[in-house]
Amino acid sequence: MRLRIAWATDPGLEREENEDSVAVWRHKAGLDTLIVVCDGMGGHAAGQEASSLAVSTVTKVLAEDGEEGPDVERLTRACKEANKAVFMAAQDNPDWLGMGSTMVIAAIRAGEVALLNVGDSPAYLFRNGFAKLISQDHSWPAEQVRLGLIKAEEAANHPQKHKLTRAVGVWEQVQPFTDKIKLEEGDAVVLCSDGVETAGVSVEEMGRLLLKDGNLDRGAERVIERCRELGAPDNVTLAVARVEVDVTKTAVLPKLKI
Amino acid sequence: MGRSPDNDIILRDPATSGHHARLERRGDQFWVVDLGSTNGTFVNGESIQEKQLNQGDRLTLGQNSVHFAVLGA
Repeated sequence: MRLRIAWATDPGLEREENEDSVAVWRHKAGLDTLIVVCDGMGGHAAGQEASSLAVSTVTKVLAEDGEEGPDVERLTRACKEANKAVFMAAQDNPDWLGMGSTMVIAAIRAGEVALLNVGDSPAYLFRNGFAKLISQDHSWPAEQVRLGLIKAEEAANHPQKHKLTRAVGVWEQVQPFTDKIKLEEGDAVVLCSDGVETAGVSVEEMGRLLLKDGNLDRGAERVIERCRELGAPDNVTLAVARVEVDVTKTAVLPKLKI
Repeated sequence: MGRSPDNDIILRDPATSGHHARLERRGDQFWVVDLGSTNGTFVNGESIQEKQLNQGDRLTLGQNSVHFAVLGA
């Protein structure tokens, strides 16, 4: 199973700093591919510091833990170390107090992806033209929907949409969401910062722009360009891993259900 | 070079590490040394730990690429 990877990032049109951080690894840490996107928050340069430290801690832990493969426990340990690193750094520097970051990780090997997320940076699986949210949204309204307190429609434009119930580095403890998914040919795993949605690009449009031809790098750029066309009020970052379709295999038509 | 404010060359880039790489003068030569960056340092597209730079080499850190040149005598 061969993977193509691509990423792109842009500060957007209204922000001077890009507070997102991204890591894209190939054939390292006992994985075929590792992609990480973190979206930092906090005043001054704190948001950038938080996301940067979160990404570098996660990749360092995975590079040095001596383990192999896409294991959710492994990702959880790395996430907890990142939480500790950001939390401690914030305690040491008054400018950074209260800083934090979202985190979304996809670790892929041999057709399996281990996924971890904290916060509201989403992960999507695109399969056969359909998009599925595979991360858990830790925003205040999404949490309220899960608890059955408000309806999904009420969450969409909720005033507390940007308030997070979980984040990396804000509290002493962190509880990430994890999952493990088997990948199929043609599947694309997309991680992004919420800047895509904030700009007004729907998940379906992002999928079309990304995957409309075989050029994934160009696809990632097309998403950024579209976000900028729409005003891009926030930083936009996305990283994508796509399972190549093996064209040497005989094409098999899908079975019809009658 | 890196993302943190204490670098000589600050690169405001989500794919660049806080302290990403260092340029060193060794005698008449210039070298680039990766400082354990997350996404790596590349010379002419090849991932390096450290490498001597030649006129016109393309140095890539995160999403930024520059050509290396020594100006003047």
